[in-house]
Amino acid sequence: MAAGGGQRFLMNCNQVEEQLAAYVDGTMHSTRIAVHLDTCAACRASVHAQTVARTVLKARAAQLSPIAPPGLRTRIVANLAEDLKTSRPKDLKTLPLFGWTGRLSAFAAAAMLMLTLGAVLLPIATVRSTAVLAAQLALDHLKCFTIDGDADGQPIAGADAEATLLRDFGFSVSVPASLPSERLDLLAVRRCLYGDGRAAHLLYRVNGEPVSLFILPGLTRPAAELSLFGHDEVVWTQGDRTYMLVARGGLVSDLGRVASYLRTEAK
Amino acid sequence: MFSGRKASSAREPDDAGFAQATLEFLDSLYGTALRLTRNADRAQDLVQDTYLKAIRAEGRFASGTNLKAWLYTILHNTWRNRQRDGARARVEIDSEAVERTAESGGLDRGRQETPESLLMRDSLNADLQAALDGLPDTFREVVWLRDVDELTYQEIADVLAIPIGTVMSRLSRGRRQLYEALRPPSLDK
Repeated sequence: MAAGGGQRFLMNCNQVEEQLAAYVDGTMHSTRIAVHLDTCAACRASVHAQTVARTVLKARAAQLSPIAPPGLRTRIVANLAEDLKTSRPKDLKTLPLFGWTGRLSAFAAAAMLMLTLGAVLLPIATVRSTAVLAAQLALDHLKCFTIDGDADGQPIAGADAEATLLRDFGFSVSVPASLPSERLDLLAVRRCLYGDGRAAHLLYRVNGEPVSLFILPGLTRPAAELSLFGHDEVVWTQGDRTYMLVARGGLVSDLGRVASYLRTEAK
Repeated sequence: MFSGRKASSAREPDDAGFAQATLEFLDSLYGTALRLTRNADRAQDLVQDTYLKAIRAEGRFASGTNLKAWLYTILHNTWRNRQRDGARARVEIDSEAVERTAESGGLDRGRQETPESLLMRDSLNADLQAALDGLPDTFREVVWLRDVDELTYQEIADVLAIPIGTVMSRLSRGRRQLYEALRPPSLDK
């Protein structure tokens, strides 16, 4: 201040300090900073320290960055799908149980979300816990019924379904047939992917409600009954296959009977 | 509760594309949450909350801007609100005191490390993790957001709700403190 004109080109350490970070980044080039650094060992040391810290951190950031637990991704996707549904409760009530109406409801948007993200989810499900696998299959249940559900819902014959699975997918599976006395209809069969494996997906309708039976070969899981994402699931293993029965929550009492019928028939 | 752009109209399947774009940053968000909470369960909880808020606020995201920075902002806001609302006594951070502490390291003393000498060190990852853990939270976040995530100063200022000048001074001091922590203490006499 005392020296007048030329003094404005000189900066003291306090003035320089804030700008040193940007100088180190290479986002600021200032002659005044360069001039200051020529004459100030402390600020030169700061530039050196910052440069080293930045370089080393960038070089090792990948090794220091944790990977999100696989279950977290599954839960987030499920939460988002659930949120899309619950944010539009009126649409849900008017949506037919089966069939693609062409009008995009929140339910369809949720299914679309799961479809889009499905490929991201699939590779992680195989080696995870039964609960994570069950979560995956609950999503597949919704997905397949929403996209593939037949509006007429005409039942198909068990033998036809078995032939389809054998011919198209190389699966030899006993498909439990429709059981009119229990208002149980076999609607369709599909193949679903999970991780590096394949599952037979049998789509049923029980008392008007969509019910899925997944048959996962080469996998044994302990018997369990689970409830998650608004769905009830019954899990059992026969031989080297795991069976997972999935239905929307609220069918609990019926689901046990359905499970025992299917368990007997799906050998 | 939900005040997003699409509150009164059916959401479209674009939501799925947006959600998928946000999921690309899951690991980064989880890492940030872990640094803030220092607890795996709370980190997961924070990330889940962040995603729900992000999807609901999708309409407020300006396309063409940095989605990662926008997600970080939501995550940090959520974390700050939780700390504020938490029953746990909140530890007020005396920024000035923290920054004065960082000042006290004498950079001109002891052996000078170079990137090469440090990167040769077998224990560098562990030392670096310890050095990061030892940084005050306010410094660590600025350093990480700049040097690892390469956010701009303005983006960092938005994420942390602090002025740009503070971003720059914390960055400068955080880096220096990191460097100091990586130097062998026995030589620092």
